[in-house]
Order: sequence, then C-alpha cells, then structure tokens
Amino acid sequence: MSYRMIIGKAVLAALLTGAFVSCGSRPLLPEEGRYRQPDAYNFKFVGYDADITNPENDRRSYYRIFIDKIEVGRTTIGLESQDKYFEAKIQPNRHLLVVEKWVLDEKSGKYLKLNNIHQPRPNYVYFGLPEKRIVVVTLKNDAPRNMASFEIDYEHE
Amino acid sequence: MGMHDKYRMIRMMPRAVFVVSMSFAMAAWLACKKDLPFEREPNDSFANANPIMVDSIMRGVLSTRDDVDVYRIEISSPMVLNITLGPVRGVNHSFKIWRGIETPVLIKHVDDMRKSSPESLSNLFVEAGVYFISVGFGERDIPVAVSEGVYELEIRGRPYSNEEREPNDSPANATEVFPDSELRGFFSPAYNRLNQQGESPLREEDWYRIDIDLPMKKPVLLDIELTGVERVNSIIELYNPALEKMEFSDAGGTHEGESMREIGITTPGTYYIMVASKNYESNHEREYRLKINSRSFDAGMEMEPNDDNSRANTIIGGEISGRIFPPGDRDVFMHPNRGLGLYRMELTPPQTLDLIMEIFNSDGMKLFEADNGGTGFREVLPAVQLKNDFYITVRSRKTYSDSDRAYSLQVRQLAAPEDYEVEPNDEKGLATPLKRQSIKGFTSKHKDRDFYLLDYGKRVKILFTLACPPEAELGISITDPLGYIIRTGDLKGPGSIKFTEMIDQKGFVIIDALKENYDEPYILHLTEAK
Repeated sequence: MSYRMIIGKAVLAALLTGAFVSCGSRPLLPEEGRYRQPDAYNFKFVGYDADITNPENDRRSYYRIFIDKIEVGRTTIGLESQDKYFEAKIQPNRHLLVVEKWVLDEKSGKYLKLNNIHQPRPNYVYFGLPEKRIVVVTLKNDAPRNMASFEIDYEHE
Repeated sequence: MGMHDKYRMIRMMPRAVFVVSMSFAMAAWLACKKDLPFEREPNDSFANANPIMVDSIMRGVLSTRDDVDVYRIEISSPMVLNITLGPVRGVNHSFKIWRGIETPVLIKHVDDMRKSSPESLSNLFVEAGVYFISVGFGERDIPVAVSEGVYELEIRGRPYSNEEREPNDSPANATEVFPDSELRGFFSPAYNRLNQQGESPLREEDWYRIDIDLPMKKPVLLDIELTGVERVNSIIELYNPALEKMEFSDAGGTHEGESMREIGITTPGTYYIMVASKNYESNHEREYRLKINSRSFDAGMEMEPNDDNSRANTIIGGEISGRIFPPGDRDVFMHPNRGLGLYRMELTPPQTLDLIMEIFNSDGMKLFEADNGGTGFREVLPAVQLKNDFYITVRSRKTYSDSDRAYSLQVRQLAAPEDYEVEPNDEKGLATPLKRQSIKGFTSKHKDRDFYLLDYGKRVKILFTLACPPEAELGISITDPLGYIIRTGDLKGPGSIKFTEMIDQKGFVIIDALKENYDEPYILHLTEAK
C-alpha cells in the first residue's frame, strides 16, 4: 500500500466517521424552526370529503367541533369536497375530538345536522397536544362509504 | 110569549143592535159622501178654477182624456198644507201646485206614476196669497177617462213650526237652518217631476242652507243627524258655498237614519245640506228630523273631511281622536317631521271596530302598516324611522263604522334613534347594520321578523345575548354570509338567552316574534367571545 493510498483511506475514513457522527447527534424530532409555533391557536381541524364525483351531491357543509365533550365552535363553511377549518387554543394535554357534520337544506334555508347514520364513522379521535406545537387533525371522509380517517400532524412553517 | 121565546128574543138583541147600528153608520157615510162638494165644470184653466178651502175635500172626475181640473185656494197667513189626491181605480192621476195669480208659477208636480194609487204632498209651505192646484192625468200612462172614477182632493192645513219649507227642491230655494237646531221634514212626495237634471233626475230632494260665521277665524265642527223613517232608505249630502259636494252619508239602510260627524268648516259662508230618499221611497205620514250641532274645533279631534292627503288634519300635541263614520270612512293625519325621526304610534280603537293604521310618505307611498289584531285591538308601530312629514291613515277593516265612539291616535318621537333597529328590516336586503354592541328592537307586527347585519371582515366568535320582554316569545337565528341559518334558539319573556357562534366575516341575526309584545323592546347584545 502506497503512502498516498494510506492517506486517502484515512481521509475517507475521517469523512465517513464525521458524517456518521454528525448524523448521530441530530434529535429524533424535527428542529424547532421547522414547525410553526403556537400563536393565536395551537389546535387546528381540517375536514373534507373525498371521492365526491357528482357536484349535485357536493353540499354546503360545516363541522361542529367538540373537544373533551364541550362544543368549542364550528369550522368554516364550504362544499363537502372543500377543506373546512377550525382553529382554537387549548391546553397541552391528551384530548378527545368529536365532530358533527351539518349540511345545508336549501329547501328550509337551514343547516341541518346529518342523521347519525350519515355522520362520518368514526367521528372522534384522541390526540396529544404537546407544548410549542400546533396539532393539525385532518378528517378525510370517504363520501361513498361514509368512512372517516383521521390524520394527526404538527403544523409546519 | 112563552119563556122560550123570551129567552130567544134576549139572545137575538145584541145582533139586532149591531145590524141597526151598522145600517145607520153606512147611511151616515153615504150621506157625508153625498154632501162633499163636487167640482163644477168647466174648471180647466186658472181663470175658471173652482175655489177650494183649507181643511176641505173636493170631489171630481177626469171626464175626458185631456181633462184638467183646476182649483184655487187663497191663503191668508203662512201655514203648511197636506194635500192628498185619493186613488181612482185604474187611473194614474197627478196634481200640480201653482203659486201666484197673475202668472202662476209651477212649484210642485206630484205624480208617483202609478195607477190606482193616491198622490200625497205632506207639507207644502204656503204664504199669504193665491195658489192653484190642477188635477190631471199622470204622464206615464195613456190617459183613460173613467166617468164613474171620482177622485177626492183633500187639503189640510196646520201652523208652520220648525220644519222644511216645501218646495225646497234646490239650493236656490233651500230652507234655512241654524246651528244647534232641529227641524222636521217629509220624504214626500215620492217623485219630483220638476227635477230633470243632476245625477238623480225626478228625485225628491230637500235642500237646507246654513250660514256659518267663524269668529276669530277658528274652525267649527258640524254634526248632522237625520233620523230614520219607516220604509225609507235616506242619504245626506253636504255642499260648500261653491256647491261642491264635501261629504256624503249613506251608512244606514231602510228605516235607519244617517249622520255626519266632525265636519270641519274652515271657511265662513253658506253651506247646503241635501236630504233625499233612495229609490224614490216615500213616507207621507212619518216625518224625519234633521239635527245640526256645531262646536268649536279642538285640535285634539279630527276634522272631516280628511279622507286624503290633501285634506289631512295636522296632528298637534301628539294625540288626536276621530271617528270612523260612515262605513268606508278613512281619516288622514299629517305629522310634521324634519329630517329623520324615530316614532312610536299607537291607535286605540273603540271596542266595536277593527282598525288599520297605515303610514305614507308625502309621495303617497305606503311605508308601514299596523293591522295585527281584531275588533278592539290596539294597533302599535313601536319604532319606525321616518323622513320628513308623514301621513297616517286610519280606516276600518270591512265596512264597519261607529258614529258614537271615537278612536285615539298617539304619535311620540323617540329619543336616541341610533339605539333602535330601523324598520322595515324584514328581509336580508333591509337588515339593520349592527355597529354597536347593543340594539333595541320591537315587534312591529304579527310574526314580525327583524334582520341585523354582522360584518366583521374576519372570522370571529361572538357571544350573543338576547333579552326578551315580558309576555313575549322570541326566536333568534344566526346565519352564514349567504343568510342560511346556522343556529337557532328561542326564549320566553321575561328572560334572556346566551350562546356563542362563529361569524365567517359576515352573517345575519334574525329575530322572530313568536308571541308579540308591542310595547317593550327586546335587547340584543353582542361581544367578541374568547
């Protein structure tokens, strides 16, 4: 082995070791700057229906939001296929979120609560809310099957 | 004579007495008839008229188709004559009254245009002088001379006393009447053959004139009342000095009277009252009475005629009374107002009437109406915003009227109009903008609905508080920006309801009156919720 080769191997080893060491020192959660910090709210709910193929069935709607069995508000109003938002500031803790879907009955000019059999299933999810994070709970409702799925994430910058 | 015969004789006595008495009566009557004077032909002209006395009967026959029998009557002092021409079977006859001796003037032509019926004139006023009565055939039928058809011309006289002076068939010869007086008259004869003009030719009309002076130029109110007469459906008309019809009354039916109330006289002069029957009805026996009362105008009482904006009474002092009479009457009042003003109006009817209150602007456009209850129900417009002078019309539902009992109308301007809703706000497009934390609203009508507009420009959570007055029930709804209802609630007064709701930049609050309280407002309070 020539001297040059030994030097080259040593530099490569040092680089690899450095790269390994630098990777190993990173935290498991993303760094502070990558997530949005709570300000006016630390909880956000987004709800929408997927797989609506006929605009006739795409009604104006909103969700009433219950956290820990207390009504805290409602989402914005939009078509079922659109994202509808609700934001609130709640205590960091583990919480129960229950939603209630309301749709517009154009005949009566009123929003009516959907019958239980037409409510998204499940209509609840438990989530943890840590300090310095905004939790985003997204409800995706499979409209034809009325099957709901919840996704929990932190809001990014 | 046996006992039986005696008994039979006694039994027969009363019948015999009756028969004998009747025979004497018939004989007397026939003798009387025979004694009545009979016309002496020729009496076909004024020159050869037969004399006839007051309180006498003259018999005669219309012997040829163009026969006319003329009678001359001399009057020594003013009096009233009742002239009757008895019926003749199958003959339509008539009589005429002429005044003056040189060139007699026809003053009355009495002809009911029927066969076999009498002709009557109940109260001809005559002054000292010569009059002629000519009896002839009526105009309607072809004259038929009936040689055995004897008529009786009867003339009865009585002193003149507080009554019409026939002929008073036109304004020119109207009988003078005075304020606060009463006089008598007759719907007699049935037809006035000399009345060939106007809207009702041949109608027998009684005209009265009343001179009205207005000391200090202060208006007076006239009440005119006409009593009812059997078988007659009467009318009254009132004319101004220019002989323009001011008022008309035809409220009562047959046998019933008529009246006019609170007729405002604002210009001095001679006014005319015309009394007549409808459908040529007459009653020669029963008199009517015409009463005229006058009083000074009181600013708190309506002054008729005030049936349209041009003749509206001005409301001074915030309160006025009036009567709905005759049926169909409407009273218009003007309330002065500068710029924008918020007003409360209250109409208290008599227990007999179901009244409607309407508000118009000076262009005649209806702005508000209160018609929330039935008979005797107090109509209220609790808070209406009005610009410039406005007009209030009071009328009765259906054709009911009440000549005796008055209604009361109150108009009050409210302070701090910005604290109140702005009616009309019954629909989204007319919603009252909510710019303050609190607003007061009223129930203005049955099932009233008030819209309020919320416009924050951002998504906000609002705490709504609604305070309901006693005896009321309210519904409250919050809508999305398009006006679709998101949340509703209701409450009974006295009490309040609180709830929070998200407003997506814009929305509406709707207050529904489920049970009305027209007197006290509800209060809607809004604050941003945390």
